[in-house]
Amino acid sequence: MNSESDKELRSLCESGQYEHAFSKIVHLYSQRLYWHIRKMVLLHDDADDILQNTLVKAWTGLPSFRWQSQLFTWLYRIATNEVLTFLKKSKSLQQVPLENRLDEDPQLFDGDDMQKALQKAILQLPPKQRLVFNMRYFDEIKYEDMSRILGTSQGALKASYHHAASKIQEMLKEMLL
Amino acid sequence: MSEQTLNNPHLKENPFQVPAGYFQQVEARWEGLSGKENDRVSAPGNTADTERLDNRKGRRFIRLLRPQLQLAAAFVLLFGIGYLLLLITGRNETRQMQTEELSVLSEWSSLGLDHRDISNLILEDLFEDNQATPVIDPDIEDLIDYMDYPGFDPVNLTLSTNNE
Repeated sequence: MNSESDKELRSLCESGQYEHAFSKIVHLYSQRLYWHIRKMVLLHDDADDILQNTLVKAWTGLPSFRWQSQLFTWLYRIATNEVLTFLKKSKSLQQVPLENRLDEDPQLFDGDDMQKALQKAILQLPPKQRLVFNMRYFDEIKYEDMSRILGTSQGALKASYHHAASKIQEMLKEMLL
Repeated sequence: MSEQTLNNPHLKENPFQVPAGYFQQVEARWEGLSGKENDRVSAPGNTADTERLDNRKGRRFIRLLRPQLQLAAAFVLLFGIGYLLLLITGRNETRQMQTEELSVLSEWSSLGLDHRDISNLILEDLFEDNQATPVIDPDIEDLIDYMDYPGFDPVNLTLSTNNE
């Protein structure tokens, strides 16, 4: 994402200033990570918990990070794994379906009808396809970086995104007509 | 139409909200962790962080299971109260019986009987109880007397029955 900040963070870590480095990491990446998580789990409390778990894991694993890839791809990968684990557990515990949550909590969602329809359409996708769509459509992450984050080939990601986009288009057509 | 909808920049805007000052809190939380609790998080990989992570997971698990746990606790409480009541009433009955027995024994001992005498008395009492109605050996004369009533002659009765 930002090679300059990565260089600075790397030099801080190599000089043993992990706390200083991590404070910078939190400052630089916590918002992006939060929104990445929040779009997948919808509720703020869940997103907050997952963000904290992600940061704890990043802090624990920071000495073993080799700096061969960009820091943000590593952080996104941790966050993504945490999200997928959470969604799997939520499904097994039969929590309230995600699409119902948009209507349940007025504090949760501030968008108009069109934005709500888009979110409901996105929620119909399988979790991994939803991740790909969110990362590409909202965060505009390059396929190359997405490939590193999700451990999937660029071709497969492109196909997944286009498949997701066409499904969403169909659903929006039904919802908005 | 929908192609145009997805290309609408308005849809790419973030429709979600966060509590005011949330991101400052997140940063402060981690600043505080590396500053105030410097010893605990002195180096990455500290087990305290893993413990904190486990605690959060535990809290989430408890939050999800809270209704079931409350129901189970209510059942346990009800069974506990019921068992306690049974225990108290049962104990009172036993205590009452024991008190009666003790009062009888103390009464006897006040009469100068020691425990051997009391045991003998109890055994005798048991023996007497076993002796149901005494067996009476009937005497024939008593039986005739019993059957006799005025104006009844057994000899005449015998003769008259033989003549017939």
